[in-house]
Amino acid sequence: MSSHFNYEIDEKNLRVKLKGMSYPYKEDAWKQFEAYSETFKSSYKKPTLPNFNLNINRNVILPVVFGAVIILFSMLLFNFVSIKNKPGEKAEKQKVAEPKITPPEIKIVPVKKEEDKKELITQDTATVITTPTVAVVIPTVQTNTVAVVPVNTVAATPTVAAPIGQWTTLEDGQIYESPNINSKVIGNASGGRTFNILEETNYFIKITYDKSGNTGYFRKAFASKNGSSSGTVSNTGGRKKNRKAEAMESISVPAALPTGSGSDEKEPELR
Amino acid sequence: MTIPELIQGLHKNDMEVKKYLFETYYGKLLAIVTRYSKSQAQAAEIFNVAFQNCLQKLSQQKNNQQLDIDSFLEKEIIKESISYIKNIRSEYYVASTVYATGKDNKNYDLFEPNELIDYYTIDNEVLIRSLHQLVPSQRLIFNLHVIEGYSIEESAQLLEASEQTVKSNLEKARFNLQKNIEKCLKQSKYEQSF
Repeated sequence: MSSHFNYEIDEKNLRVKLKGMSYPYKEDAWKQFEAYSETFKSSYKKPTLPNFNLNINRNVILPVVFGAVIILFSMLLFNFVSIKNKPGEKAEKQKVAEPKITPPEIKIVPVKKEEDKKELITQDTATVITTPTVAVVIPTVQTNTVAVVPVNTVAATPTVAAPIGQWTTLEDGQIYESPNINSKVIGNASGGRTFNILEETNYFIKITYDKSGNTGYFRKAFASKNGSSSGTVSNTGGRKKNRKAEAMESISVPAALPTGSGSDEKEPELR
Repeated sequence: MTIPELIQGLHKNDMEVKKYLFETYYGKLLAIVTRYSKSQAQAAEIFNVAFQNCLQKLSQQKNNQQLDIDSFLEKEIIKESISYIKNIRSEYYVASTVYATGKDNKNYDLFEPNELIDYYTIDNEVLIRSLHQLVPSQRLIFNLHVIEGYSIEESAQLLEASEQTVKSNLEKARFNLQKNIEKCLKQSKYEQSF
């Protein structure tokens, strides 16, 4: 359109003129309208639902529709991608993280009656064990009176479990409180004595050394198992290694042991 | 007749009430419809449909003594006319894409320089004829904004178009209307000469 267009119409005047216009009434027009309304009645059905006239501009509808679509897709994405952990999962994780500490189970084996213990008497035993005790592993019955100094030779207390074996001392040796040569010496055992052992470790055997039932640990190096010619650890060649191993047996902290000759009786010092 | 009586009569589909309203508002409403249509025949057709719908809407109004039937019927008939013309998709769609065809000359030289047009003395018939020659979209916006007094925003809302579209159509309507008036005047003068 030309930019030099001169608009010369007086719009106010035009408005007044056209708004004031009116046409005369015609009967023909009424008849036409009447005919039309009759046809309209027959074809028109009353709406059952109320007619809502929402004069919504398309400039409003389009952004609303697009916004709704975007929100819908974002909700679908959030459902697939778990951004937040559920509170129940957190609690479960905490429960799983906490380590379960259960107290160690202490099994207490019931003590058998005195009548049953008569069956447990070994061949070498002369006396019958009478007093009942709770056996830890294996019960043994003392055969002879042991010359143990300074402990009194008292008949050993009876045990319940069956002996795992008999050992004979090869030479005089010390009896320790625990299976460690650095532990307290509670007695001595002379050579040539036979014991029914209560417990066996790698380098020690647990024996009852007096009649009162006191137990102690004797080194395997100075004893031999009955039935075996050489014994498991009585070889002189292995004594060097055994002493070190015996010292190491009860040491929890690893330490370098001296590699000296094993002939001397020196005990390795704990570091 | 009071307003509640009229509404009740319309509810009952009383033809006397309808006739009363038809006689009362026929001339004014037909003039409005004529401005929006492209011909007298189309105006008559639009009037029947629009008036029937207006009466139906009036019957749905609550019994309100303060209801102004004149303004109510005028607004409703304008809306019905616009919806009727917009529903003629072939005409309306083509009309929206038509651009004002004006000469590319800088000077507006449709008439001879010594001849002036007195727009104050233009006949209503010429004005109506000039309006009928406009394309539907331009005719609608010119009627709404210039004659009825609706703002650009209100006109855009009624026509369901953007304000930019309304403004451009209005500009084209003004240009084309002036051109049409001058053509009509020229033609009428030519006819009078015979």
